[in-house]
Amino acid sequence: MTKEHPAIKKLEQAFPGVVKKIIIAFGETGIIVDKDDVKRVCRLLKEDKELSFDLLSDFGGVDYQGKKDKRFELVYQLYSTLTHQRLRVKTEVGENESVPTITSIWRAADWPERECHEMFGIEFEGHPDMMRLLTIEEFDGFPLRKDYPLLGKAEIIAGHEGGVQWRKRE
Amino acid sequence: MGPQHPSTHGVLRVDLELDGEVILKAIPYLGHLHRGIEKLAENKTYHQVIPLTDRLDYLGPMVNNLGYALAVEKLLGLQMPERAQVIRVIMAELTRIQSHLVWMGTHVLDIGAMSPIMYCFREREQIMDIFEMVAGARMNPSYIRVGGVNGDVMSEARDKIAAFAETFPKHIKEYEDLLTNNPIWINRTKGVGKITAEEAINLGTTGPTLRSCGFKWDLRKTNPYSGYENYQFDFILGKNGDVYDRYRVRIEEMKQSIDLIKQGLKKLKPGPIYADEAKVIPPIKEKVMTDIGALIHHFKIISEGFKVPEGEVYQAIETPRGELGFYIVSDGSSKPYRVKIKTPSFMNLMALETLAKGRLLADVVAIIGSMDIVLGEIDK
Repeated sequence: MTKEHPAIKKLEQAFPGVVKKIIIAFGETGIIVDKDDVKRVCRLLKEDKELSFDLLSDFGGVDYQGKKDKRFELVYQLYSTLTHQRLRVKTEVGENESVPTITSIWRAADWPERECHEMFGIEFEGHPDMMRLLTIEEFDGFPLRKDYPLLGKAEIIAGHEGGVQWRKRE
Repeated sequence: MGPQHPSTHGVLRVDLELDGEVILKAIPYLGHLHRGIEKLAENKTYHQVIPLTDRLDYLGPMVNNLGYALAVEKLLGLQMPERAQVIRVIMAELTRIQSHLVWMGTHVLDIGAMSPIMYCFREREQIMDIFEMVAGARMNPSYIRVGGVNGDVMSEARDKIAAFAETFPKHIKEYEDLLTNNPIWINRTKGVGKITAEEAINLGTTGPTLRSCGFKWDLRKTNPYSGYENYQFDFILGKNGDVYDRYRVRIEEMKQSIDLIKQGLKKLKPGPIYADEAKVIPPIKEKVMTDIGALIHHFKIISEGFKVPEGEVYQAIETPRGELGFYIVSDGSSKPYRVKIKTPSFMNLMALETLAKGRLLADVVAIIGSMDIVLGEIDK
């Protein structure tokens, strides 16, 4: 994959200035776009007949606390079943900011967005069901944030009848 | 249904909304097995993450090791020697067979056939013995390491693999005699849990589930890794995307894996099993015992870990269940800054509702079984 990744050319043609940065390293191409552009960029990449990035391989967040201006980065790994190429679309999100959901483009984004929400505390606007996915409803905090302690903040000492009770870790 | 229902293959709870016997809604609830592997991985050195990957998909540990090792090697820019690549392919294909054997045994048992599971575990035992000979462990071998494989395949193990590849096709015929034309099996599986390729891709489904729709999907072929481009094999495709086709696809995959193992054994030439990179690979044990320089070197790699250049990669491989991807962000230290794991079962399970809607309650068992989920990798 070179600088002339076909997707970047197409994106520049359709929405000039939408690609903020191009990262080419380790044989992979990634682009950074504004969070408000994610939806239209994804839609174009998916629906363009020649690109056809129709599979959302993976979606997740990264916490860059103290390392970047905006705390979080969301990473969309796209795969084209037509050309067998990959493209990484990234967008930066600050704390307490929300991002438009892409579940209307790929239903595959449903659970990964929920997971991202519970692990990082990022809101997805318009997501059909923003419930916690892997942790329990009473869970306090966002485990994959860098400031969340490895051992957790509290442990469950009783469940069931008395409701969930937590003991704080020192 | 669940979380302790025997047909959910682990701790999965599914909320079913029924109209009589017909399913209106099927909502899976996950997380009973959540161990925070992604968080744990951020706090361990690159080498220490390998045992964690074993515990994602406990039926296909070798391929999990492989996916992770390939991702880190991409960051390091390591070139694998020929022999290590061939051993990796052989182990990955053996893993595929043993995973499919467990799938078939349990799936068929769910639907009511008692005998196949006995046969499946009989053959699986042989693969487990091979793993024990090669890696020293049966279930969580942590065999494929960053930069190579841990221990060579000796002639004894090689003979055992060859003998297994010789006898196994006969056993596949035994399973097929029991099932392929069995009217009860066909009634329970044909036309059940149908999905079209378009829907499946939209839902992020990969692996045999997608292939059963007749869609040409196989990362080993389209995005080859670890030398798969040097092997002769074809796409294995189904037609209707139902439970029966998923069964057919997996049976054919087992035959294909045997073929790949045979090709691999032919390619297995003497040579190094580790990449030539002293910064990543510890020195051999005899040297550590006799040479102080090697001892210090060994100590440094084990205690501090090796440093990985800054950057990010996404490496995907084809596991028995579909696309397994590791997205690793490195900040240049000896611990990964972020490890995001895309596990195939997680994405595949999202299709459950589409597959089960409008079917009968009894079909849910067949559908969950046919997706071949492993809760270890769903809950992470």
